[in-house]
Amino acid sequence: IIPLGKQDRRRKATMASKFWGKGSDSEEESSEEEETTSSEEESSSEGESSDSSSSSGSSDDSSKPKKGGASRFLMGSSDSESEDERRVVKSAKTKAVEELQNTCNDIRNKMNINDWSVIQTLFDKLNKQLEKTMKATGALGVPRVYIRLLVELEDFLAKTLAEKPKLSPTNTRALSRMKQQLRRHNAGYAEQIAAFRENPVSDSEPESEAPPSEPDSDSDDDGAAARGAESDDDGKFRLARTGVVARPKDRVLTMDPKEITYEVVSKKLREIALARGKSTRLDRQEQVEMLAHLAGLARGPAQRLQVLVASLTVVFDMNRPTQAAMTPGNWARCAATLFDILALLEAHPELELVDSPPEDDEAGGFEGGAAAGAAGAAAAGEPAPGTPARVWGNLAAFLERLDDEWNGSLKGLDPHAHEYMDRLRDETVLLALAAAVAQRCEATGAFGALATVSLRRIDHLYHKTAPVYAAMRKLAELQAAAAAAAGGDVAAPGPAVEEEEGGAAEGFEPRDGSAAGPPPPVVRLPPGFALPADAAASLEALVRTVYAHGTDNQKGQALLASVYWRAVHDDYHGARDLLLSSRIQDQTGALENRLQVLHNRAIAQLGLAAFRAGLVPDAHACLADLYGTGRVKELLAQGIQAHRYAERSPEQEAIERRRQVPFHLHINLELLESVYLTSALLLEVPHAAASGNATLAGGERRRPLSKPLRRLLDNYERQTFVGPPENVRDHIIAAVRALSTGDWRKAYGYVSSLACWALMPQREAVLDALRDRFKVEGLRTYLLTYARYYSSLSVAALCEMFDLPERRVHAVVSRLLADEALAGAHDQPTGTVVVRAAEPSRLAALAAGFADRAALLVDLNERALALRTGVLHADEEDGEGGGRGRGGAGDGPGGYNRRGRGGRHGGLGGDGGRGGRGGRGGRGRGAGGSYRANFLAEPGFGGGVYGRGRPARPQQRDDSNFKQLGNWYGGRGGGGLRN
Amino acid sequence: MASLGAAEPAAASSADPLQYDLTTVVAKSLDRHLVFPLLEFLSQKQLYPAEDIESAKLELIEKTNMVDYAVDIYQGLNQTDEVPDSLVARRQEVVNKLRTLEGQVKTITDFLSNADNVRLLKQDKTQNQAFLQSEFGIGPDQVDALYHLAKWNFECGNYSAAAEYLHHYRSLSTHPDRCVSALWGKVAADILLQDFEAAMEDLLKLKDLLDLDTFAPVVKQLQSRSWLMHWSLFVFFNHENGMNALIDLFLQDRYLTALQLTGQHLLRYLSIAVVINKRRRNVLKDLVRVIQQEQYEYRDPITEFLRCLFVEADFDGAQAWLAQCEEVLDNDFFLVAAKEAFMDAARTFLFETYCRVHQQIDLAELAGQLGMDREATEKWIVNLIRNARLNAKIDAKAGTVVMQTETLGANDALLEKARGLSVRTFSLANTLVGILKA
Repeated sequence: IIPLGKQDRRRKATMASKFWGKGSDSEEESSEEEETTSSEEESSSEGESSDSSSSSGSSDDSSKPKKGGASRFLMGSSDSESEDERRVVKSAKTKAVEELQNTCNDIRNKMNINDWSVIQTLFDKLNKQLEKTMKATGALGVPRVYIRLLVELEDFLAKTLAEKPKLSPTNTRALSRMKQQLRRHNAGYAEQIAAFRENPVSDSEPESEAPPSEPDSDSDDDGAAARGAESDDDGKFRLARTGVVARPKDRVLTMDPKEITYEVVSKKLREIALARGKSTRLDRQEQVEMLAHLAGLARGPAQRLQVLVASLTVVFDMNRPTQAAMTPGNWARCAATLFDILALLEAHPELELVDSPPEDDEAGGFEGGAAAGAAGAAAAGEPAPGTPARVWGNLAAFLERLDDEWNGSLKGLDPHAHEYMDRLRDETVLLALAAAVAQRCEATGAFGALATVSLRRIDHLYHKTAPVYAAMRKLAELQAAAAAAAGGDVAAPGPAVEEEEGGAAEGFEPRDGSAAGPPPPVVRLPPGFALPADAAASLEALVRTVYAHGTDNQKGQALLASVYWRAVHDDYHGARDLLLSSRIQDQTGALENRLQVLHNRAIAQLGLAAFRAGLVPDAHACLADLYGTGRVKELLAQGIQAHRYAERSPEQEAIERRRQVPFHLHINLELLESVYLTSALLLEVPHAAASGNATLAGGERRRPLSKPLRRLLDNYERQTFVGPPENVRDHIIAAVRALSTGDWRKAYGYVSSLACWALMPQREAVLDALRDRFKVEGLRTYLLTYARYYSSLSVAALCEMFDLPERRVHAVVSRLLADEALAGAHDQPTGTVVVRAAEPSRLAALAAGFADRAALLVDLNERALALRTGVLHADEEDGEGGGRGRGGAGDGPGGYNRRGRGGRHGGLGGDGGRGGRGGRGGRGRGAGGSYRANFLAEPGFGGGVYGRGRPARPQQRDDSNFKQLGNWYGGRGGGGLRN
Repeated sequence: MASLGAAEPAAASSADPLQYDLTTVVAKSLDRHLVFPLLEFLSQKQLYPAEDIESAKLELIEKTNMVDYAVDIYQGLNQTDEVPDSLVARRQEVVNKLRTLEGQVKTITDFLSNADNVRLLKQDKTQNQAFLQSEFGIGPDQVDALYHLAKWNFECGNYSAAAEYLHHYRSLSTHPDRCVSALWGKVAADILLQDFEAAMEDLLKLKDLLDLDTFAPVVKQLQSRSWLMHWSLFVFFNHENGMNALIDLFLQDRYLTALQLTGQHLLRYLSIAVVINKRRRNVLKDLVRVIQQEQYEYRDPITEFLRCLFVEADFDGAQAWLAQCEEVLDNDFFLVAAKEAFMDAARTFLFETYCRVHQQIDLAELAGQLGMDREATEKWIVNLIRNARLNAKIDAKAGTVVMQTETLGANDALLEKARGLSVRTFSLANTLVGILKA
């Protein structure tokens, strides 16, 4: 069988509905079957209606299935159980079922001849087929055929063991193996088997009937399978499933709407509530139908609200969010229901949703479901309109669940398919919902919920660039307009809601059986809904709401989202200051995984923003930590990286998978890598040249600034044959090699030919700046590398060579001279640079090296002694080290660890930190690397990333606290801390 | 990479002179009364329309009790002799309040007017309190009233009285918060009385008090530090040792943080102080780093000058910015007095750095860069050489300055490196022996 594609599945949904009419006979069977068993139900069922309804129910049998079918179809449900009942069409599913059945029959045949070894093989095959069948049909329960076989096998096994017939050695071995296998296997189905044993009648009965009407054994078992699935937990849940829902459905669904009273509805509600958490999926589907029907018939707004809330919860129960996402149809239904609830609440201010189920003495065992405050009136009858009523339900929680489902379904979809795009379109719905819920929360003073909802809204906004936001805004406008147009059409018939909300009429499709719509219900936006034009301001407002009312975690998330937003919108400094002043970097280790991922993503964006702003050292500092680990994908939760050494358990992998961010949030890794490697290249090449100089003069070889780049180069040098550059890394290496000879044109050519720059919003500007940077760094490298072979260099020639104005060249040279990286001087009258450096002789170089080592030895000795005697502390050591390191003063992006020294340890540490730049940082980070083996950055991450940030700020960072951010923020607009 | 392009002084020079005026920014962190001198200065400079300044003054003054002054300004502004009724009523109110408060503190003022009595007071404040209560009937209420009286006097512009009262209040009161605000008041009064010695003293006291208060909310700490820095500008630029004190204060970690977070414009004053103060060259590096960091938040000709010189090594740019500094300094209340010193020091700075990277400089070109004629330049350089600040010679024939540089030979470099080693090893061994014996 070819695995079912999505299209297949959709086609089948429509087919299912086609065959509903034909399917009525099997329905009848099941209802008859129910009648025979009704005596059992009555003992447990408290509904006195069941008795009377049995007659009316059967009389209505003929009309019922069609109606139910129609409404199912309407709601676009993909109810697979019902699909099993088709028998003519040989879809993949039918075939799978048939095969299963065939294998079962085979096993039965072999059982007759006691051929255990074949049985064993067949059993394995059967299990495989079962899996396939379940996948094909999408059923949750195990087909009854299978269970029956299991029971038969078990019995037969027991019998065989008891009788001990003579068997061949192979068969004996197979028998004992089968015994173990079956015992183990059956344990997993104990419940179903017990249910089957308890009630084999329901199975045997149609079978005895079947042969005359259905000679084809396949179809017989097919039907049986369907029923089997329905009743597989009959024993336990009969009350909930058949007794309460199925039969009354007949009555209520077909009753004249006028006859349905308040009590009837509230009784149904109560029954559905009782069934919560007990039954299988099939029942849910029925319940949903029921509730959809009831929603139109409910008496009074309070009851209608109860019905709506109940239908939401029922749909929510239909899937487990950790395993599979909600189907789009169900999702849309929920969204629409939530809109309805909101509209209802808006129109009837006397209604109130409360978090906990209200105390309800009368309702007895009626917990967790719907109906509450009005329940007192349940006995008395319909409450007068306008009476205040409290209904259990939590809008924010509903919204969160919907949002989670949306995200979950995105993760499950192929990001390159149309479905993904279609699903993305629903984001406007979510935003509209969230806006409405937030409004509601604000009105009712539920500020905790408000913060939650605001955070969800932030989640949908923070990553959007201006064009994306504009596109979404336009989409929302279109959708709202379409909804307004359609709303006018369907407003009249059916109980479609026409409530005022936000000054705009809201129309939804009627969802009961009276009108038909396309299978996936389209949720309409409230026509008045529009996304604010100024996204930044609206995000800012949301973030502030969270700061004001949220928990610490929520505040942290909002803050990171805000940082991300600023970085995406090219406000590098704003983003950086916000991040630093929050001190959240000190706590990364203690954060939730989700937040850690967000933090890493924000850092990555910060790096990109810095690069776009031309701040190459900053960009490098931001991204160095992400790339230093070599696990970018994992850190950004954009895919699962294969680990060479560590094996992961399935649970870990599942957790990791859940952590992934949906595709549309991904940061392009190729771009990120290009940015990182380009910045590293621009820093590393002159640095290496200077380092080479120093080594020649007998000094210490300096540490590379970027280890990943260095590693790439080393790998490259080890290769025997090299081809032309193909991927990002190849290009970068080619550029490094060109730039180290000062050939900036070639180097720039390699880098600028990378395809991913097209993803950069301001490509031209960025590349121009990059070009400029390449010239300057090329000049610097050239001077550092080759100046010693000249006695004088003409500035004019340099200008021409590097295509730079004279002033620039002069400045670059002066800088090198002032930093004593280049020994020499300008000679103004002749316009040349006179180089004084003499190539040290071999002896001189060696002697100098020796002197350095000796000095180092004394240094280390002193320090060792001081540490032993306690004169010197670790901080001071750091400070001293920092002070000694004297990297390229201006632009050597040393990045020392701000956390270690600086303010907290007062004078010496702080001074050391400020005095020295370069040098130390790398070492500090190197040490940190070893214990950064786990998923996230430990606190040092922040320090590392911000090595060059603002070394004088740690004091403030110590003082401040991100919990206080709310206060901070209140002060002034965009400035964050600086109020 | 945009740095050089951004530092295009030619474009900036055409901007209006108000571009770099910090009065409005600084005024946010000053007491109302402290703003008056700034406004006075501005009206002298005539940078803004006179009416604007006058109405700003009136607005300021309306919230104080200096009713008579307000009347003057009002009449000047509206060209009338009338006095608005509101001000008349206000005046009456103010005088009444003053009388009541004076009545309340009569006992204290009587007590304090006798110098012998003051000598009876001890160091311990609680003891004093009990003593005053029993002997003179001066309770906490009276002491509080003294504070209010001082405040009221201050609001009325009677600064000397306010300073006096506050001084006594501080010696009598045990209320910690009030003491701090009394000290703030005292500093303000000192400044307004132009008593900079006292102001300096009080300022340092105030700083100590603020530094002690580490438990205050962060926002408040930052704010008070920022205020302190702003207020101190009055004192430091008028006190003889002010520049040193300014550098000391501003470069303290906490204050530098406050500066970076809340008052980047203070970098201008810090830069000036560092440039003028030749003995504090060692902090230059720190300063340049801070300037670089805050570049995106604040830049003016002074900081740009330093940045061009020390970060970019762009001498032309530095030169152009320096030319603009003159005007900026001229229009700054605090800096106007320091202009000459700054320009001179900055020029030397520029030249020194310039010389460091050159071996031969054309004298004519140099004269152009320094903004002096050839003669003066030559004299200036001769002076520098004579003061042993510059190791150079003038080649009169070629019209150039030739730097005399000496490079260390390999041998010398080696010796230099190994110089301290033996001494250090020796002391190390000594320490070790000491430890082993002990």
